[in-house]
Amino acid sequence: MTGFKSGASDDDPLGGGDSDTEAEAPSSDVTESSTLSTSEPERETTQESYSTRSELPWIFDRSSITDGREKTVQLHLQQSTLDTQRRARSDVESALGETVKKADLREAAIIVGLQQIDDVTDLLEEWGYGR
Amino acid sequence: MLSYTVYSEAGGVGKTSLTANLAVAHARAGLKPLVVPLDPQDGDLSRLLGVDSDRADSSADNLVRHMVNSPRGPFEDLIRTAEGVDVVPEHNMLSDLSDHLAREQSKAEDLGDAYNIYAQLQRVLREGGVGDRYDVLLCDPPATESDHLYNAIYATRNLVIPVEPSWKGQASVEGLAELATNFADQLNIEVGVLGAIPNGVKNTSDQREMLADIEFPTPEVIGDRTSLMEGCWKQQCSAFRYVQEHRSRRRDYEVETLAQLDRIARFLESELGIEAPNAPEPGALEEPA
Repeated sequence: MTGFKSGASDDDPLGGGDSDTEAEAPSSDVTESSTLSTSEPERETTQESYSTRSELPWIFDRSSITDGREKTVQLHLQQSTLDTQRRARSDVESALGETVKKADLREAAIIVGLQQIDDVTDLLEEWGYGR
Repeated sequence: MLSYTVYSEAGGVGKTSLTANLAVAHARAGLKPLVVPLDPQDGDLSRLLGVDSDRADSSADNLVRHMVNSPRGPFEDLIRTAEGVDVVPEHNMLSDLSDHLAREQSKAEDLGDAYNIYAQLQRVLREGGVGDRYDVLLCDPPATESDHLYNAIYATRNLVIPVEPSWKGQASVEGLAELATNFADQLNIEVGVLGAIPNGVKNTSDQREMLADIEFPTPEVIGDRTSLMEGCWKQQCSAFRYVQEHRSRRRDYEVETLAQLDRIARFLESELGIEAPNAPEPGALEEPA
């Protein structure tokens, strides 16, 4: 795999073997690393996510952005999605009156999005699913 | 292994201080870092950590000799240690690195051999067993587009970008993305950006707006710490040691900067799935004597 991305390179330059193996990658994608908590984002769940476990609100209780986020996944995104994210972020920040970390914005968006199953289904149909 | 090059197109954004302090932050958490600084100028990382005694000795073995296949000893004999961090010190021969590499290249071509001038640092580090012996590799090339920079990127494959909080700084981040893209495509490698570190932020609204525009993860935003960094250069030590040993009283905002350095190190480690064995509380120091 070649090119340039936000997030860690998959190359292993000082590894023992051949470090420049080719991997399939859709080159039109923007690849971004992001972290997502593994806990299922359900409102009526008995399993508590990290963000509700402590007395303090999560962002004051953690020492780093990855605290409580034990899973790192890669998001392969369209450029238009990144543009939407940037616009949404400044709207959210205006509403809250402070800067919001990208990882927090993303996880909140995913949790809320997964609670809007109908809208998600509609978009997937637009992309060609279910035909 | 976590390997990254700290690079910004603009000078004076605290690139070298950031590299040295991140290396110490990795070391304080129980990881083994190796720093390979490549700046031919005198105000460089080897000077900051006080391991630059041989830089002007033309007979001394140094990294450039190893990169052009004329070493005078084993690779591990180049290494000096400061504050738990191993460093391959800079040498004045780095000023002529490009000439030396070009000569090697034409020699190889005369013999009909393929030669990649950008892969020589990677070769030296591989042959020196760096991948097995160290947990983290940090490169600090000069703030110019150069063979030094490309060798660093080729050997580490990842970038950490200190950003000056200005529109000029913002433009240079975009330029850097383009530079890295072209280089990655040309050499058939993948270059990742682990994060951008806005540095010297005074928190005006214009600066906040600029920071919101950065495309890359920004794990921390470091405030203006000129006096702390000046002190480090004067005493030739990291910010951790400076606050611990050279400040008569603890300043909360400086301890917070140390905490930020610790957190950035944890963030970069987590990007590669590395867990530091003894990560301290961010910013924790022994009580002043």
